[in-house]
Amino acid sequence: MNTNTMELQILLVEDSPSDAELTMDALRESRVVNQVKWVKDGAEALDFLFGHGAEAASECRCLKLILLDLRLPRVDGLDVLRAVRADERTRRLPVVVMTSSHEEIDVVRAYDLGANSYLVKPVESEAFMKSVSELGLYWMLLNKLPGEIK
Amino acid sequence: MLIKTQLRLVALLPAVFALLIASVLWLTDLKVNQAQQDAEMAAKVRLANFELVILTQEYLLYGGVRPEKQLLIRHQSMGELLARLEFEEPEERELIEALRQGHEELGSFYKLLLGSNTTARERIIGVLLVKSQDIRAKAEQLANIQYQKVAEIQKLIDRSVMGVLVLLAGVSFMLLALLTLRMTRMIKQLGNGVSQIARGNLDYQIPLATPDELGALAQAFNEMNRKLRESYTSIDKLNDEVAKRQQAEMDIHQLNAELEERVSQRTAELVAANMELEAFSYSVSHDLRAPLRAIDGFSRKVLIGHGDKLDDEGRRQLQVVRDNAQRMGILIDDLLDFSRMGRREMAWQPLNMDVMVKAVADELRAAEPQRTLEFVISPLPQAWGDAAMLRQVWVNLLGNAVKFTRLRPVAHIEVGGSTKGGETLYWIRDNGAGFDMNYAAKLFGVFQRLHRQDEFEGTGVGLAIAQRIVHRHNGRIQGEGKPDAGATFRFALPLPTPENALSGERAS
Repeated sequence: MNTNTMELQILLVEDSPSDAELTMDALRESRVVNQVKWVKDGAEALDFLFGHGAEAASECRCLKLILLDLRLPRVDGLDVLRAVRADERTRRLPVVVMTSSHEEIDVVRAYDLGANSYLVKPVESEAFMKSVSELGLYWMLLNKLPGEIK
Repeated sequence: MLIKTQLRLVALLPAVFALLIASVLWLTDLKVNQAQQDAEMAAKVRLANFELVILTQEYLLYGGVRPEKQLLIRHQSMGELLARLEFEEPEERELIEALRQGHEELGSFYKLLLGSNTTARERIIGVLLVKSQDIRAKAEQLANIQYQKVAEIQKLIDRSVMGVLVLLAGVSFMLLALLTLRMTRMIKQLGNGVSQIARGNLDYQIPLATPDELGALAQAFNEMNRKLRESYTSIDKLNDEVAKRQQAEMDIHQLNAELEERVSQRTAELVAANMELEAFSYSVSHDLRAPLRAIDGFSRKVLIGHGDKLDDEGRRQLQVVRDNAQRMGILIDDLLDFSRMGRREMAWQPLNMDVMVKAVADELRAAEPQRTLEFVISPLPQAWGDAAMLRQVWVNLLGNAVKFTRLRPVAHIEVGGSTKGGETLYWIRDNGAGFDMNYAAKLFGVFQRLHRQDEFEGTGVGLAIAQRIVHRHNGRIQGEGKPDAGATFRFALPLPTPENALSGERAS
């Protein structure tokens, strides 16, 4: 693990600043994540992932997880997911959909497009904090990516 | 009189006339025969007279006893002959009388002659001859009269026969003409009547009341006409009825068309409304929850991060904010659940309710291990419906039973069911808090609650969802209760009919 990967481990795609803040609070509370990159819509997410040639985040191999909201301005969350799965560099990157949507259709679409997990954000904040920190714990510490098993 | 009889009578007429002619002929034949016989007799008289003359002359020439005797015999036979003659006509009688007299005289002359001498004889013979001549003439006259009579009779016969025949022809013609005239007139009346009927004048009555076949025919026609009129009246009535029904059918068709039009219009409206509702639900689930999460999350942050700067009341009030935000989240979730139940696709299948109810009861028991829950589940009939949805009904009803028996040391919850009249019936009875029947109407309303939040928690959506599911199964649900004496909920689900069992889909 180089410094780069330590610096950037999670990409959070979330248009709601309060949700983003609470999510980052929760991840911080779990103490498993130091660096979270927060983008506010799908276009920004794609730009961050694939935008500036060699500087693109997809090139640095420092991303371990994408937390993706579905209802986003400009480019929708599912379109981001589709683009991530279509690109060779991010094809195997874990994507956890974190949304307010209870709709079955969204769950089905997300999994069809290759989401690794689907989390409905609870309204109740204790539950929310618990969900997000456990999620961080699992994906950052327990889950293994290709090349991480020695 | 029947026409048949009339015709027979007319046909009989020639026979009568023939009989008449025959009798005339027979009578005249008799007369002719008589006349001929008389003529023959006259001829015999003449012959006898002629023979007498011959004998007289023979006697004159030869004399002798034999001619004498013969003369007398002849004279006598002639007398007998004359005696046999009988006539009725005066002329004939005169002649006969003259002949008889001449014969007498002849006889006396013969006597004279036979007794006389030769000289006297010649004189006597002369007288005799004259007399004989006279007799001969008279006999001839008599015969002629007879012949004449025969001729006259024959002429009479000819004329009579001719007359009778002419009469026959005349009478026959007259009778037939009369008959024909009468029949023609009657047939004309009949024809007129028939054409009246043919033209549709069913009120027409043929005015023919003669006691014969045509009269009977006319009566039969009138009867037929009456029947026709009756039939037409019924046909008219039928036609009226048919027209009415056709009109009604057309009305129904039109109404149906209008109805279909309205149904499709409403369906379109409903589809649009449904789409709006879905969009709304989607927005609710996404957009309304995010602010609530922020309210709750940041209230929590304040409490954790800056709680020490607040006094107890401030912290309590912030906690109230959190509680309400959380409650609103639950309300939104329940509302979305309720909305989703109305839109869900249904998968119809036979369902084992025993297994389903036991599973739900076990889950509820597991959720509250500290409580004493006593479930009494009687065998339940198999249901027909959507498994997930009907399971939700049991979860909500049994969940309510568990919830409202919380204050009982032992919660007693009974479940039973039966099949009756094409539907399956289920009931759940508990010994819980019950409810006031005065508010029964509110029981199944969304967000309607019959208990205070601090008594029993809840959003008031569970029974609304249960009712919506039962209604989507074309069933019924009802509840009855008494405050502090438990509640009983019953629901009925229709069993599948052969058609919808095959299609697997009813109204959904």
